[in-house]
Amino acid sequence: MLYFSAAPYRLETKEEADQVTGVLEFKEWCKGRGLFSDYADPIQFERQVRESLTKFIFGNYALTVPSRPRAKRTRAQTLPARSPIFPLVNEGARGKTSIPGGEIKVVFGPAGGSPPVRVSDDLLLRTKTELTSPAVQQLSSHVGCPTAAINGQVVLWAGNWYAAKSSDGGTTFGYMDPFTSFPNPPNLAFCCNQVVNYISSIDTFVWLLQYGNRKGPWADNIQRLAFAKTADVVAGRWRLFDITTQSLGVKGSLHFPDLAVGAHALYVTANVYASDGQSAGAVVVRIPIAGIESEQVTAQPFVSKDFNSFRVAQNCGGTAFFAAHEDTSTLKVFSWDEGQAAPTSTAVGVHRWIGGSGYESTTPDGRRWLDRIDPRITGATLADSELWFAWSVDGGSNRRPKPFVQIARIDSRKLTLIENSNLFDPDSAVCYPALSTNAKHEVGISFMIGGGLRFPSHVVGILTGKQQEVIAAAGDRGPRPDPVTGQGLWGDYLTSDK
Amino acid sequence: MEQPLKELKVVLASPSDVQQERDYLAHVIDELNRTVAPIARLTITLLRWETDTYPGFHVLGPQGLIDEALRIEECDVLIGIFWKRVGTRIADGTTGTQHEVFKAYEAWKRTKRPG
Repeated sequence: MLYFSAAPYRLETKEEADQVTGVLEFKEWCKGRGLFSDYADPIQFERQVRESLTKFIFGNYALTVPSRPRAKRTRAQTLPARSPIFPLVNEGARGKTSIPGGEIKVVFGPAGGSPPVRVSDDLLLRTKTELTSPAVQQLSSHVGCPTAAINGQVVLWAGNWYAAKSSDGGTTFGYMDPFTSFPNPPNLAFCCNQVVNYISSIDTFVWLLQYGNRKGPWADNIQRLAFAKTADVVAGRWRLFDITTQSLGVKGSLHFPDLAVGAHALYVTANVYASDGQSAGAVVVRIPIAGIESEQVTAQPFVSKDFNSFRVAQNCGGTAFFAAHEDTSTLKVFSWDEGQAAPTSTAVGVHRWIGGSGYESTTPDGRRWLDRIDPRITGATLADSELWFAWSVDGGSNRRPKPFVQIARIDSRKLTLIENSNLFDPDSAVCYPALSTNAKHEVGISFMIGGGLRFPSHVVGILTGKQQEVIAAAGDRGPRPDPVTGQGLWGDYLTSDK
Repeated sequence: MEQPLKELKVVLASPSDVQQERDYLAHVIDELNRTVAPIARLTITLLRWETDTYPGFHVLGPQGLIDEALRIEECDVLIGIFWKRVGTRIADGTTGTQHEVFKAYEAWKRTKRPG
C-alpha cells in the first residue's frame, strides 16, 4: 500500500527539486505495478488507509463474533432458519408464526456498464453506476436522502443537495445543480431534502425541492414541485408549483417531505416546525393530477397539529392512506377518498416498540451511525388490499438486541391489523425502510443495514412471495462524527418507487 | 476457549516530510486494534523507524540497522507514504524508503507478503 500526497508545495532549492524528481520517477515505477493511490491531504490519507487496512483484514482473516451472553430465545427467533442474514418474522396478533420465504442471497452488483447479474429468479440489480459529481462538487453527505424515479430509459435521481438525470437507463448521468436549476423566490433559496416520483397516467416526472428562508432555519419556507414530461426531463424543461406555509395556513417551516401517487391525485407530505424548532404538526397536500396535466395546479391541504409526521402509502388508488404514531403501540391510520373533502382516521393497535431520538449501533471502525434516526414512519405502500407501514425501532423492542424495522400490515378495507412483522438481523441494525409495490403487487423495500461486522450498507429487496434482498451498495466505513456534537449521523430517509 | 490473538505486523516506510500522515496512521491502527482487529482475532503492531530501530553500527550502514529491526520480509503489510521527498540516498543508490519498498516488493513476489 503506497500513498502519494497531492498536496501543493513550493520548491526553493535544487536539492528539493531533485527530491521531487526522485518521487516522480519512483511513482512511475509504482504505476507500472498498480501499487499506489493518491490522496489530497492528511485527512483523506487517514480515511484511505483505514479503509485499506479494514478491507485487508476482512479479506484475509476469518472474522469471529465476540462471545456474549445469550438471551433466552423466543420461538420467533428460532423459526427463520431459512435466512441467516435478513430473517423476516411475522408476529401476528393471532400468535407468532413465520411466513414462508426464499433463501436470501446477497450479491454485490456490477459496476455501471457491466452485464446485469441475475441474483435470483426475480430480483435483478440491473445497473450500478457510481455518481461522482456530488463528491466533486463537495455536496456528498452521510445524510444523503437518495431518491430516484424512472420511465423507460430516463432516470431522475436526487440526493440531499444534488440531482442527476440519465437518458440511457442509468448507465450514465448528467449532473443537475438544484441550487441553480430554478429561480429563487424572494428571501428563499434551495435548501435540501429532495424527493422524485413519476406519474405514469400523464407521463410526468415530479421533482420536489425544499427551499429555506435565508433568515433562519425555522422560518416560513416552501416545498417546490417541478413537473416535466419524460422528454422534457431530458431537455431540462420544468414547470413549477410552490407549496407555501401561507397557503397551508401554518406558521413555521416545512421539512422531511415525501411524495405518493394515487389514481387521480399526487400527495405531498411534510412535517411542520415552529420558529423554535419544535414540532408543530404535519401536512398532507392533495394535488389533482388533471390539474398538473392542464397546467392549472391546485392544492387541497390537510393539516394536523396532533401528529408530527405522515407518510402516504405508495400505489394508493382512489383512496389515499396515511399513518402516524399515536403512541408506541397505536397507529393512527387515515383514509382520504378522492371524493371526500377531508380524511377520516382509525386507531390500529400494533406490537409495542421502543423508539427515541438516536439508536445504539456501532460500525466496525468504532463509529456510531444511528444518532440521527427516530421512529417516524418512513415506508408505506398499498399492495392489493393490504397496507404496509414500516418504521425503525430501537434495540430492545420485541426483545431483539439490535435496532430493526417494524412493519404493520393492515387490512385497508377494515382498517384492522393483519400482522406485525420484524425485518431484523441478529448482529446488525436494520433501519430507514422505504416501501413500494410493483405491478405484480409485490412489496419492495429499500433499507440500510450496519453495525456489528457491517459498515452501513444499502439493501433493496422484495418482502412478499419469495423474499429476496441484495446489497446495492456496501459501505466501507462509518460516518465521521459531527465536529460539533460528536454524533454519528447517517441518514434521514430513503425512497422506493415502482 | 477463545483463540489467541495473532500479530499483524504493519511496517511504515516514508521520508521525513509526511510526519502528520505517520502520526495519523498510528491513530488508525490504535482505532483498528479497538474495533476491527479483535473480531478477526488480531492485534496490529506498527513498526516504524522512530520507535523500532536503535542506535548502532552496521556493516551495511544505518539502513542495515533499520532492516534488521523492521524485518520487512516478515511483515504482513507495508505502507509507504510520499510527498515531495524521496528520501536520503543509501549505499545501494536508492533511498532508505525506496529500499524498504523494493525489499517488500521482492518479498511479496516470493511469498505474497507483505501485502
